[in-house]
Amino acid sequence: MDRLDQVGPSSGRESEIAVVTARSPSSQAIVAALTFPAALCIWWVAAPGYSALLRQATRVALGPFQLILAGVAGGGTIAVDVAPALSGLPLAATHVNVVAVAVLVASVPAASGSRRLVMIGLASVMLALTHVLGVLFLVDWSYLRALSSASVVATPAARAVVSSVGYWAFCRIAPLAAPVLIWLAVVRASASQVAPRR
Amino acid sequence: MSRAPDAITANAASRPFSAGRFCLRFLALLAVAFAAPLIAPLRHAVIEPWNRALSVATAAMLRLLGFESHALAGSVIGPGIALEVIDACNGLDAIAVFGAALVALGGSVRRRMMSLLIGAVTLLLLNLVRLTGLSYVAIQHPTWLAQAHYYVGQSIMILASVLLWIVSIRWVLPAGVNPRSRS
Repeated sequence: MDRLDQVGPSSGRESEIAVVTARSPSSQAIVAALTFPAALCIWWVAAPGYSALLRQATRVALGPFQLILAGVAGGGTIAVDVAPALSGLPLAATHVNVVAVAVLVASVPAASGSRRLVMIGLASVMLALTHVLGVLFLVDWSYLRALSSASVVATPAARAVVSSVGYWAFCRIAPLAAPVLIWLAVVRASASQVAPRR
Repeated sequence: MSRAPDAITANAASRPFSAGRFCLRFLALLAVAFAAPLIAPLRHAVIEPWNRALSVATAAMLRLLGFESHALAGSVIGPGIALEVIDACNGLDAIAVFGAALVALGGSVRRRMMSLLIGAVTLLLLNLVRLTGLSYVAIQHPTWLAQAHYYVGQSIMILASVLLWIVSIRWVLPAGVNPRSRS
């Protein structure tokens, strides 16, 4: 039996990655390499706006979080210094992955233009969210000290573990995993448009 | 484009590719890979010597380019620069992404290991070129260093790791999920 009939749109999604990659793995790499400088140039223009958006989103997210912490801790004001997390490497880690996602999504064969734009937009938002979540664990750990005083995270060791795991999960692992996972999502969404070659 | 001849002779009994299973494996492996450098003995035995070796190699590359430079305690010392090679610069992040995605893929273990070896060497060499390039920028155009470091260099490493994985997929996927194989 010809296995081509197992990989069409009606056959489930298990083999869709193979449909796309078997078609043109090297050409995807070439397209990505050619797209990269253009994506970088476009991002150079968009980056300040995205940075401003990230800073604003982080501050907005921290607002209610601080109120909750204040409630848990029994009132008062909890100061959170967001500055270290909104500059340098944490911010850049989010930026570069948006560029990587854009280039990879552009390289998927048969993906429609609108689908590519939607996926890049979604990726930007998702990466922004993971950045904000990561920042919550990174910002001077002051909110964890507040939790500690409320006996939610009782010991310095537990505090350090929670802080490290949270930061690594959201600021390091999630952004690095994003290009692979989003590329896979686009491939799966686009597979129905790829006619297997005989 | 010609089809890889070994694609149809791979382990046909392997389970078909499942995106859900892949994502779980990938994230779990990535977490393990990122947690590993936190283990002190591993850090002292592998990571720190590796960072120092990279600084030595980068200094050597700079000398090849005609710049007076040397390595000192994990830093590259050159004309007007002292750049420390830290964990985020050592290329192991990119190898972790590539390796986790490759191992999570399923298929022939031998082919995955071979791909991992080839990919890891490629990424390490690329990282050495990146470090040399960043040092060059730091010496010649210091005001560009932040952009080159944060955006260009890191983007290239991440893209390279994912593209190597995409190219590897075709070779390591079992025949049972290769759309162009016949039974």
